[in-house]
Amino acid sequence: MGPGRENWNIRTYIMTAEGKHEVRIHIDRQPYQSPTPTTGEALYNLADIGKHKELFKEATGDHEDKPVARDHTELHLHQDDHFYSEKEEAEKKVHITVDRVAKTVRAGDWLVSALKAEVGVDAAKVLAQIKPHELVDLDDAAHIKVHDGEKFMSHARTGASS
Amino acid sequence: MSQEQNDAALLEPIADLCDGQVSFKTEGWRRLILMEGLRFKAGPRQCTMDGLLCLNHDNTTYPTKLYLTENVGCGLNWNESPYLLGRQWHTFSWSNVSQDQSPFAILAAHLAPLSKGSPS
Repeated sequence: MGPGRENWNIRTYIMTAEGKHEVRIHIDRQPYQSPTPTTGEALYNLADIGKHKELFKEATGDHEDKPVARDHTELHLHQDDHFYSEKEEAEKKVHITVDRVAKTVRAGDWLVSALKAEVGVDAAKVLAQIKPHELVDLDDAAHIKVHDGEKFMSHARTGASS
Repeated sequence: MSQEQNDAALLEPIADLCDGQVSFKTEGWRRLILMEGLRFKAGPRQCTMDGLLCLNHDNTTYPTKLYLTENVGCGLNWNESPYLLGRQWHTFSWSNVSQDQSPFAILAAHLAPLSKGSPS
């Protein structure tokens, strides 16, 4: 770090009344001043992140972005750290195909019987997932993760060994 | 929709489960769908083999049949090895899968006991 950058940091670090430094951070591309250390909850409040959204800290290089827990865990911020919020899985919508008809449902965990009701499959029928290597009949009481682009079909619960 | 387009629409979902071609065939009174490289599970075993779906078997208890090139066990009663379309097939006794549904639904109903079974 050259002397110019050092001087700039000195100018932008502000000491709060509680003796904490303040740094400039960015949440959803908006600049905010935040004390450091701070907490996840304080960051959510600072940018008024809705309860169905999750905050992530942007990582550099090959590292994965880290979710910020909405709790009292201490976080150490650095000047110009970047954060972004995303809708939680429960709020995301995915497009699936059921019996060759396009449907839009929320992403994530589904009780199979609830998914059948949501996409209009008769409760008496079996919902099956069309996977690349097999057709998988889904138990009504099972839970599955639904992802964008997945294909399903329904068929009658028929047939018996004889 | 022409007959050709209707046939293609019926076969398209089955083609999702096959490596090769899927086509309607007939032999005598039988209306058949030949499925080349049908992918399915027989218990824990991943299988790929040709299959033949009969949409109008002449038996009221067994109105439809699935024939495979191999007996994959699964605790089912494999009791018939007919010669159809110039080759030998094997089938298990699986009753009451109605003709009154799409070919894909018929196929799914016949594949279900294989995926749940244990291979011999």
